[in-house]
Amino acid sequence: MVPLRFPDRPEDSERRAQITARHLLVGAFLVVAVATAAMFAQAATGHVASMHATSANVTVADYDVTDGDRLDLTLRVHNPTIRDLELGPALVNAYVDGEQTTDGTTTTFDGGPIPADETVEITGTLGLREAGGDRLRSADRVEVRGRLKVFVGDELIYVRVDTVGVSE
Amino acid sequence: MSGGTSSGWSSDAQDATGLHRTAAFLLEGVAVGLLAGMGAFVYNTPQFVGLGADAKLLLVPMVGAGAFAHLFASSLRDSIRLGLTGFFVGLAVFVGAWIAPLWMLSYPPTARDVLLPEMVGDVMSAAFLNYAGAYLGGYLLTVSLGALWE
Repeated sequence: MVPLRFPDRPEDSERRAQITARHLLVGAFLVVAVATAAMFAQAATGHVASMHATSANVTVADYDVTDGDRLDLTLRVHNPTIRDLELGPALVNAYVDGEQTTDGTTTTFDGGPIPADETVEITGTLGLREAGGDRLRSADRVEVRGRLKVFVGDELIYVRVDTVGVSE
Repeated sequence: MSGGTSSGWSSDAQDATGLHRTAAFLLEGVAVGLLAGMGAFVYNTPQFVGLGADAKLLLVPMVGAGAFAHLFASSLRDSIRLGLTGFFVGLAVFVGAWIAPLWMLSYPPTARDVLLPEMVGDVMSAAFLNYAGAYLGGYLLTVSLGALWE
């Protein structure tokens, strides 16, 4: 049986208009919700990662005093978080028997960013104090202390560096 | 629900059963709340979003959630219920997402005890400073414009 079609009553067209408006409304909501959810995923992972990043593990992989009396320092950094860590300027110094041998200025390390849940070696060159080179060359143990600046998105996080390198 | 006094600009939907309406109400309330809560979180952590855009744009989801709460409702009574449900669901989503890392990351219980009040304080002040204003602003603006329109 073919259903009979009656001419539209005013209520029908009004109802159809309501249903269309409803669809538009739900569609608009979904567009806003999907865009917000995408940004929320970024924000929530960043929030977790920035709280996690302080527990990044830093060890000395290698160090070498160059002829030009500078210290080539290689740090092994483990990023435990779910986001990549960008590297900012670091303030780390090398100590021999508790005495500072490097010049105390900031160092830019190469080798970043550190991908999520990976361990990466980063290298930087530190200036030395007077006679620092000789002390470092003769030392068996070099303490490296200070902090790395890392970024999750635009959020700055300090990672503490407190580690010992042993000469081979 | 129906059969009471007239509640506003349009009548309650007559053709839906009670169960259907409750389910639809819960769905709408949770949807609005999720949008509001996610919007609040995003607005308060623009440093992670990487839009580089004007941070004021991130108010749109919260204002929008308040507006949708009224637009989804079939009557003024429904609108108030939905508006309040969305507000509190959104607050729960915002606070929950903010403090979730304390349990997602392996904090020792003592550290958690120290950090939790601090983080709850942060998120509640953000909730009152911008979430409440943006969400309720969006809601009331839509209610007012709706009243003018009809």
